[in-house]
Amino acid sequence: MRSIRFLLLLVLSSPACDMARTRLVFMEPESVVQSEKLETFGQSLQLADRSYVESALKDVFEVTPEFPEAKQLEDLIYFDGSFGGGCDLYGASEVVSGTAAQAEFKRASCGIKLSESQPVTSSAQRMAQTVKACDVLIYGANTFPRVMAKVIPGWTAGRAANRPTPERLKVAYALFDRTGLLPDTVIEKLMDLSNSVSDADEAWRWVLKAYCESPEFLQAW
Amino acid sequence: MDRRKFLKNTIGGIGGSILTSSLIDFYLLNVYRGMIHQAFGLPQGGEVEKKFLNVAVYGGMPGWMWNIPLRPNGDSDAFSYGYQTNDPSKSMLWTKFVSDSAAPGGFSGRYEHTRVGDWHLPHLWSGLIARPDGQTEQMSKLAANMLAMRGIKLQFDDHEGNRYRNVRPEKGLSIGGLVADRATTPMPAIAFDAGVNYFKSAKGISQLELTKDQTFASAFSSFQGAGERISGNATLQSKLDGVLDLMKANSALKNSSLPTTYSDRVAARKLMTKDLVALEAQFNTMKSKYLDLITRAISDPLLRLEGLDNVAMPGQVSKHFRLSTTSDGSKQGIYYGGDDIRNLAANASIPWLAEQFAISELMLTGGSIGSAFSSSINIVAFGGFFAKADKVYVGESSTAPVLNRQYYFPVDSHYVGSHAHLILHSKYARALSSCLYELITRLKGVSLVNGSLFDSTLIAVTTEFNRTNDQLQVGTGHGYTGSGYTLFSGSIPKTTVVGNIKADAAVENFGGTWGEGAPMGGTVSNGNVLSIGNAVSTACQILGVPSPTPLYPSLATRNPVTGKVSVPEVWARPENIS
Repeated sequence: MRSIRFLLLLVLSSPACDMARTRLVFMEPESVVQSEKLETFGQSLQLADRSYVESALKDVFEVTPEFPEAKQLEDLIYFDGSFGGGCDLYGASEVVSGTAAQAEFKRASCGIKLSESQPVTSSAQRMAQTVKACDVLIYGANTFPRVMAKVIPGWTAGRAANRPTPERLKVAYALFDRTGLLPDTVIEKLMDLSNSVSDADEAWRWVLKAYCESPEFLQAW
Repeated sequence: MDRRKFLKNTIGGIGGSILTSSLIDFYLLNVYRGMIHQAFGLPQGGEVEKKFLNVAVYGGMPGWMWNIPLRPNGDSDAFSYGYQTNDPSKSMLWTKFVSDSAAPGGFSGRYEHTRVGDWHLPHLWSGLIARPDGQTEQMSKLAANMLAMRGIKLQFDDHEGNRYRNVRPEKGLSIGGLVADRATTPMPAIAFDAGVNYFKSAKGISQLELTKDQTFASAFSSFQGAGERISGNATLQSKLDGVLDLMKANSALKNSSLPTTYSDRVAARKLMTKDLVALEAQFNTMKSKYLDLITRAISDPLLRLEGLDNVAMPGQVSKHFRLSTTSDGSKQGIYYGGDDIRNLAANASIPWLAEQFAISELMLTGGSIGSAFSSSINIVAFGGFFAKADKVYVGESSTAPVLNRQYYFPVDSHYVGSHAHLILHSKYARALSSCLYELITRLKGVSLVNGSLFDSTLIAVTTEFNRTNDQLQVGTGHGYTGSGYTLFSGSIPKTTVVGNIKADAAVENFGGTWGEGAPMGGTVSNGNVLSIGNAVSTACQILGVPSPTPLYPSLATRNPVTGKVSVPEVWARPENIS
């Protein structure tokens, strides 16, 4: 601690540090050190920012700009600051009222509802927006066929032969989770879930909901 | 090996060898326990989860009318009105008008106090506050669970900085952040006009900032419009939840914090299936209730207090009746010139205060849903009000009155004269008190495992600083060397006052016993004046969270069995030190 205080005094004694010198009193160095110690005990999980989330979901469901799902997805992810990220001066001045989703240039905005300088973390709001975004894509007329074609080459809608199987479940999961790890116990549960639905396409939608709503594939790596 | 393969192999290896059925059972047991705790608002460990509400009043309130008793021990306290004159008629330190035919408007004033519990509080506490049923209540009841700390030295004369230092005294964690870190509520922390400097959590939780014009919507719109897919087919939803519970248990092997994100999904889905339309109607009802309380606290004849607003005092163009200089953009000032100073606050409104208390009540009680939405709330209350005065004069030499003029009364009352200062601040404090009392009543009405929601809630009413006395009787300065910090909680069993002030104090050109901090006995501050760190540590002690300023001890101790707080004997008698 002594060395830290010495360093602080050394730095703050330079002529360029008049403002910082004032802060020395304000910050009360010994307490600051203790606070930072406290902070290190807290668990921290930073999730992916909005650009990543948008691109990850677009990648899985092969969303192209002309799809109506693209705009719906954008409106949900850039709805507020839940997904953090991307704040710049233009964005900060642009969004002064209403929600970020109403802004003309959503990607430039800070989002007005969460402090933009805070790290991107988990919240109920974020998960609600994620659940909605997943629904848009899973029930999307354009996006559902795209993701299914990745799981089952030559997939067409309404074919009973396209029902989920353990192998197909793994293929689909790997689209979402880079690790591709899906324990057998989870596969069993997923098979039970999908077998409860008579329609093959609908069965897949429930499986995809499970994958898409499992938040871990959207954590920051 | 690329990063993806490395991760896959590493986690796959762990998953294959460690994720045995017994481990899964262990995780499921903990998931189950977590669900139980979440349903009852209990943190892991069984104790009732604490809630924290900070009401930060913008501007810096004069504490001597409300939360800083200058003579808490009654007339035995050493006390002086003015540093040099010791003359009440040359002071701003009034809580009550007294008839004086030689004085402006026929009234002078004095510092008057009233007995509340073991202490003597400012005169306003002898009066009434508004109740939502149209009746009135003794304001002293609000003090029943109040801990008023006084004589707190802030290091800076800074509006904004001091406002957030009250809950985040240095660069590290905030009180709200510490509470949010333990929260199991869907929105751990929310803020109304309180920006990033008010909040920091160790877990990196962000506070949700509500917007003024869409208070309810900004809190809940994420959960609206989910459609029937969320609530449809209960059997399949249940099976889906089962899959995700298992994935949650598995996720802990990848990152110990990941299960939290699964919990947030559960909270989100719960909220998406709630009747938010009904909840918004409840918010609007609450807002109307607080609006009515504020209006009545300022204008209702039933609430008039002897020596304050039962006095029909005529105004005049003199410094004592000066309002402010801010609304007309010049230094010439506005002066009340009507026949009855009570008309000064006609049609007064405090912007957004009703919305702030309504969202606080909704977030803490959960409305009809009965489960708190948020655990940590920061609101910055508008400091002052807009009102219409029946007759004013603009400028000191003006002879032509202006009728029904809109004006702005700021809590930051640098240019407000003594007579106007007393009545306007008192009305603001009464409005704030009425809202606080109603919120506390609602919290008391919610029963938990041990006691009421109020027992596990701490409300901190803070402001940027106290105000200094002006012997010229116009305007007050920033009393940052003797601030107040006022706590309300069911865990505070009785009215309590802590902290020493000087019997005489002089700061800059101002003087008088306005509350400047004086050294404390014992070891609490090593013979120094109380620091904001002591106040924050006290709040944290009551909340059961570690203080962000551990070098500054708490002024109260908390009984681990009863949960009640008390002040150690050494500081139990606040003193005025000559």
